[in-house]
Amino acid sequence: MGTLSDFDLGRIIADFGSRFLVETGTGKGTDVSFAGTFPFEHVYSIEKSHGLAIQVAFRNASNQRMSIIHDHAERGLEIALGEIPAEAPVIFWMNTHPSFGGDARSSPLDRELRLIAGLRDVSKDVFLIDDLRLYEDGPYGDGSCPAEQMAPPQLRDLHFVDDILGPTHGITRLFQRTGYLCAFPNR
Amino acid sequence: MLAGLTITSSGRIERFSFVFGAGAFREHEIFDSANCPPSRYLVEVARRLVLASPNASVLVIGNPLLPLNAEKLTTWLDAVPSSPAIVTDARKFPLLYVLPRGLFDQFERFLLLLSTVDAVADQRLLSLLTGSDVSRVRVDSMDISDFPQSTPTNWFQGEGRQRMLTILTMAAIQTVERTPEWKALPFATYQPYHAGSLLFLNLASRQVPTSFFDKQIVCWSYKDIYQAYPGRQAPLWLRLPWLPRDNSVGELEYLARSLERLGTDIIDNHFIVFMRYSRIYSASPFHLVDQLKFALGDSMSEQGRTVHGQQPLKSARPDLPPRPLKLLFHLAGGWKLKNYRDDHAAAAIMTLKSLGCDITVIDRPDLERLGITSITSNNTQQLTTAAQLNHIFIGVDSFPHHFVRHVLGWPTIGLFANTKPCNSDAKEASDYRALVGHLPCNPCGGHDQCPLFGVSDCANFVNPPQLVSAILDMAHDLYGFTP
Repeated sequence: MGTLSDFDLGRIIADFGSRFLVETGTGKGTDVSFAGTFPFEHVYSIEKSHGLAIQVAFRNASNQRMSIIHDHAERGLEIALGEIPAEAPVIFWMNTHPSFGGDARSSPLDRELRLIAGLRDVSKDVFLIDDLRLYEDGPYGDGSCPAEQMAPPQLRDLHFVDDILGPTHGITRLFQRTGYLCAFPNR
Repeated sequence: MLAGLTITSSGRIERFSFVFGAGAFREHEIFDSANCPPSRYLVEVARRLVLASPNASVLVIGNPLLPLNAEKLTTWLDAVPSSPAIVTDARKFPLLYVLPRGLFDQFERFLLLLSTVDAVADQRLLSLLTGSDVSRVRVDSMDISDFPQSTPTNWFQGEGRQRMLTILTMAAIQTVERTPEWKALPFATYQPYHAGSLLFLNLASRQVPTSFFDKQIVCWSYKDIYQAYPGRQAPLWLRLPWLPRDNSVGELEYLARSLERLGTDIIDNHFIVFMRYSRIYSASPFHLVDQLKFALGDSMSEQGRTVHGQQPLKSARPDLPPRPLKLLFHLAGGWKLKNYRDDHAAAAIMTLKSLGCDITVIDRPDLERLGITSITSNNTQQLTTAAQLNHIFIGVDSFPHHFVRHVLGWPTIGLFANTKPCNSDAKEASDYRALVGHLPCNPCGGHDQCPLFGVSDCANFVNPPQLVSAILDMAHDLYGFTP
């Protein structure tokens, strides 16, 4: 499991002019709290567990620049992106811990990225995707992916990331912890 | 019991006692609404007093939370030196309010801000509203002690609820103190969570010509519902997840966080009134839309004001051939006892499939094994699209059922079990039927467990043959469908 604090957010903001951060997978709220220390205009975090969402929302109730959305990632993304100006660069921290159906034809990450790309021009947005090892083998700091967590064979493929972001982004793989896939806008 | 006295300038006292209405709309009955704070009944009793005694100069109103009669109020009146005043029990629980008539005439809706549970807060608020001293008289011989969690007159105002009411009175005091133009500030309903409640509030607000309220506090996750069917009150978006139904978060804590989230700017520029349930809604024979209309300010003193005698706002049909008969089911409600039993659902579905029906179920991928299609319905647009692809919607007592019927006007069969249809159904018609069993335990008030048998299924749903029969009857009447 990765953490947003592995990234130099200040530098990413400076380099890409990021004004908003959208997280999928609030969890206990560690990363959204970290993001809240940076000068984003607004930080959105999406959590499907009602209990976790409300705990983190209560903890940050007075922070008017932070919104916790209780919903599954796709619906939450629609809500958040409905508020973010089209021209404002966004950092997407894709941090859900997906459960894969054995016969699923697409992964949640695939659907979420396609949804985002369908809702806005992503050419200026930064994508930081956690848990690369779910999809690809590699020399991960935390070791190989346990079999029970791994995406099923037909989904252990991230070509869709190249399809969606390849033309506009440089894509980098990092093997710290459970692995990150990062997509930074071409300059 | 609700009670009041009027006093004329010559000192003449008239006594009035009222009861919560059970449907007859007699002169001494006041509409029974769960969706308003006790203070709403202060306002209604005041209205009745003024109507009955137009020359009254002072209104004496018993605390609506207490089963008081006019004679009892009279015995406490002797100790009151002047108006305005609050008479309390030994522990400062308000027993009665002595209000100058002018306060009611000028500031009727501001009486909604009285807590009715904290005489000190109410005294301070009344003092600010009237600009004069307000006496507080204590009756030492009377001790309400801890107000019960629920009462025989159907209030439920436990300690948490009382604190909520006091918090909102304190917020109102703060608003008056900080905002010079407080008299012109809008009132906002606090009823932020649960989709069905929002829909009914918006339905109600369109039917109340003169409401106390200009705004409504709503969880922002319900934006799509508001946009699909806005009420007359402008939204104040509460950017918090809605309150979980599993009691993991108390309403008091949720209110405190809501106020924190809304921020001082909202609080200083609005008066917020608690509009979630204060009374047992199923004790009332009235529809929740009507209960909300009363809460918003309509006195609901005639049967003609209720929705039960009205046609639906809209009626619509699909542009589909009669075969195959396409049915959309929603089988899971806001709590377990609202869910239609899995084995009964399976039996009904298999029968309908064998009769050539094409079946879709909302959010039940586990039922795909029966050869049905499960779809997601995450917002009103998806629900609308799904409903319009089907001949008939069949739903439990939950938001999709109410939206499909009340807003879309789509042919609908409602499945009720431990709730009373009259509180949330629609008018019976060829394209609407509410189905419920005949067990005398309805409504039980249970949520996740049957209070009688301890199980998580309610036995008061209609059985599969009755459900199938109702669907086929409606399909025949509306579309000429025969299996």
